[in-house]
Amino acid sequence: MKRILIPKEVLIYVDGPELFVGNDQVGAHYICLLSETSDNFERYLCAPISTERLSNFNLGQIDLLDIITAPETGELFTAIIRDSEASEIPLHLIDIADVSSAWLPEKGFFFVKEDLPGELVVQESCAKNKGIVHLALNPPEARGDDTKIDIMTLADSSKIFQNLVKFAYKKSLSGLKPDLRKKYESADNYELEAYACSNGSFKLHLQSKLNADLSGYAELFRAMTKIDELMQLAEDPEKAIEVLKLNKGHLIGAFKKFLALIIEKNVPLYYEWTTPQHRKSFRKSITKETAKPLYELLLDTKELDIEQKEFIGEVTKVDIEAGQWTIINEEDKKHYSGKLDADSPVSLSGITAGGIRYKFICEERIEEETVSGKEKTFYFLISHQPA
Amino acid sequence: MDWAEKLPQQCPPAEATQPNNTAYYRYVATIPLCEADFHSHRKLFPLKKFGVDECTANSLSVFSNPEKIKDWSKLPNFKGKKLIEIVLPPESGVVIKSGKENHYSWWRVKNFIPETHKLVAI
Repeated sequence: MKRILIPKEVLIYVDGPELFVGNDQVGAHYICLLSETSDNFERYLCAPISTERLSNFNLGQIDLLDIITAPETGELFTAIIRDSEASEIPLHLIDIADVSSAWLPEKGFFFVKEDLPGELVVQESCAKNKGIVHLALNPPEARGDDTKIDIMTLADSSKIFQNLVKFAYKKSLSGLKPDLRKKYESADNYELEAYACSNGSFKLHLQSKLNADLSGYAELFRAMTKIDELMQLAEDPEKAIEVLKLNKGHLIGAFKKFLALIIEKNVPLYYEWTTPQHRKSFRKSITKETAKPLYELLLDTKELDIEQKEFIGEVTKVDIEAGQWTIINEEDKKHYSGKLDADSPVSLSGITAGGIRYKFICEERIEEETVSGKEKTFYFLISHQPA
Repeated sequence: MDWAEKLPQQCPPAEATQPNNTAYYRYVATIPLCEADFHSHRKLFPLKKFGVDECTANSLSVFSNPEKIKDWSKLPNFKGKKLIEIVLPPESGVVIKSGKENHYSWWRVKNFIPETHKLVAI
C-alpha cells in the first residue's frame, strides 16, 4: 500500500517542525523526526506508533531512539520534503539497518508534552487543533435552574454571530493584495461548527471548520481579533467613530444586527476564544446597557453600513432605459452586473460599451432569499468616470 | 522597521512587541555568530510549504527557558550546534509568544546580529 503521511501535530518546533505526529490515509499514527537537512530537501524518519505508545512517549516514558530503531511494526519510513506543498507526503520504507547514525537521536532523549493551561477553551483548541469560540448567551429563559433557550433566539443568535465572523474575516483581508486575498477567500476559513453546549448561561461550543496549521495558526484569529476591536468600542463609544469608519460596510451592518439582538431580545452575551497557537483565552462580554450607546451611534451614522466596491474596466453592456450595466473588472477579470437605484441621480447616458475604461463606484448589497435563505449580491452604481 | 527578510503583508502581527533587553535562547551552528544563524525557514527554503502560515515561516524561533530545550542537542538537527543566550534590545525587531509555552517568534530587523552572547552549558 502506498502510504501518504498527513502531518497533524507538531511536538517540537524550531523555525520549522522538528518532531511531529502524523497519520496515514487509514488513520495509523507516525512519529516523525527531522533527520537531515540540505539545500534542496528535508528528510524525516517516520516510525509507526500505536496510540498507547505515543501517549507513553508524551509522558516522557520512552526514549525517542527506541521509538525510531525499534518500531512496533518493525517498519521504518522516510519522508522527503522538497520545495513543494507538503500537506500529503509519500512515505518510503527504509531498512532500519540502512539508517545512518547521523539521522538518529542520541540515546536518552525523553519528551514530555507540556500541560495545557486549565481553561477548557484552550484545552479544546489544542486537542482539536482548531480555533474555538465559547459563546455564552443569557436570555431571560436561560437564567433559571433549567438551562434552556428559545429556539428562535438560538437560531437568530447563531446566524447573527456567524455573519459577524464572516464579515469580520472578509474585512480583515481587505488590506491584502488581490492575489493574496483570493488565496484566503474560501468560506471554510470563517465558517463555524457547533460541537457542544454547556451550562453557565446557554453556552455554545463552536469550532473553526478547518484545522489550524502546524504552527497552531487558525484563520479564525483574523475574524475574532477584528470582532474584539469592535467590542472594545462599547467600553468607550466616544472614541468609536474613527474605528467604525475604518471598518465601514457589511461588517458594521452585521455588528449593528449583533447589538440589536442583545438589546431587543435582552441577551447579555459573553464569549471567549483561542487558537492552538495562542494557548490563552481572549474574552469579551456585552449587555443591553453597554450595547445601547454604541448601537445608537450606529443608528445615527447610517452611511457606515454602506459597502462600497470599485470596478475598473470596460463596460460590456449598458441599458440606459432599464438602468442596467455590466463591466469586466480588470483586477479579477470577472463580469459584474448591476443597476441604478430607483431614486438615484446617476445616469448611464454617455457610457459606451467596449473600447473605453471606466471606474465604477458601487454600493454592494447582500439580500437573503426568503424561501431558500440563499444570499444574492446586488450592485448599485453610485458614480462613474472614465478611468 | 526595516526587516531582515521580505515579509508577507500583515506580518509581523500587530500584537508582536519590541523586546526589552530580554534574554532568549537559540541553537546556532557557528561561533562567532553570523547572519546564517538567523535565517528563517522561509529564507532557507523559499518554495517549501509545510503546513505553517507564511508569517510564522518568516520568523525565527527563540525560547525563554533554556532548561526546557537543553536536551534537544541530542536530536539530529541540533548535533554539533551550540545553545546560546542572546539579549534582544528593542531595536532588534519584534517578538510574540506563540505555540508551546516556551516558544517565541522573532522577526528580526535588517543587519541585526546580537553583539554578544553567552554559551549555555548543556
